[in-house]
Amino acid sequence: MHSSKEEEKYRGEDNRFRIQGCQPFVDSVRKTCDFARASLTGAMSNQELGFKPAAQGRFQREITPQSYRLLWQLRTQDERSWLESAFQDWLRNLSQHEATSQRFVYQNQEMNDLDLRSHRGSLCALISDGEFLAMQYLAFGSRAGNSDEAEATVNMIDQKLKILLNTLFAWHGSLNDQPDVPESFKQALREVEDGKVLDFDEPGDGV
Amino acid sequence: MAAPNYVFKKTLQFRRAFSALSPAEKTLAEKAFKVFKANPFDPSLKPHKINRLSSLHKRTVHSISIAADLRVVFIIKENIVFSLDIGSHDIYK
Repeated sequence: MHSSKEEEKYRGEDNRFRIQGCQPFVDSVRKTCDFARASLTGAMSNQELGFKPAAQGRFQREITPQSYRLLWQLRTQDERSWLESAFQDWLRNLSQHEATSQRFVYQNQEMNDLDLRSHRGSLCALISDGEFLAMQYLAFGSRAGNSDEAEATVNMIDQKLKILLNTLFAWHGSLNDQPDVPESFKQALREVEDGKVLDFDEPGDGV
Repeated sequence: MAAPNYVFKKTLQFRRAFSALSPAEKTLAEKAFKVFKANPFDPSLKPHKINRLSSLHKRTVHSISIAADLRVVFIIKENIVFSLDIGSHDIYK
């Protein structure tokens, strides 16, 4: 519980969040929201937002999808052009992902764990990029007063996202939850797991 | 490199599915099983991997073709070959 001194501290700041014990969480949410708002409106520079061109891992320039790379660049274009460019980049990434998946996953008889992990990672990155892109379009539409135009693009993004999510589920989800995998196959695997197996040459069925 | 000394097992599902085959299919299957037990990856059986099921199962799922539309699906754990199912390609699609 907050002491009366702490209560005093929060009093008058925002009555909506005066829930005892929750203030640190509320502060954290506010900070996150501020960050997202600043990112979307361009109110903060890339440096202030913490996007460092030489950062390691996910944000490393050489391995990051193009739609993310744009976040580091100063927005010299107008926002509409910037979004259209990001959308085209995302579509290009989708095409590239499809071609790569065909070669290394769908049609690859030597497919290995690394191929599958790469496939999963690529799907997740495209889903993430698509969601953020849709968010940016919606924010732009709202600010510019042309929500209809933004929503048309967001609908296109959503259609692609649906395919990506279905692919992620179909290839990396739970086997037992797949509606198109025959029940007999699932049953056979359960029998192996449960040790309900016979010697191949066991008589009785002609095998 | 020496070929692994495989042990061959079958599931109850495989036995049920085999029992449901036509006499002609059973004859074809029994002929193929002789080759299969000598080498599950004999090229004459047209062995191939089923990538999506392999991804979902986190283990390679193999298939061989006994006839035009008669397949056997199997997995290998250590040196044990588990025959899972037999039938048309619908057994894994």
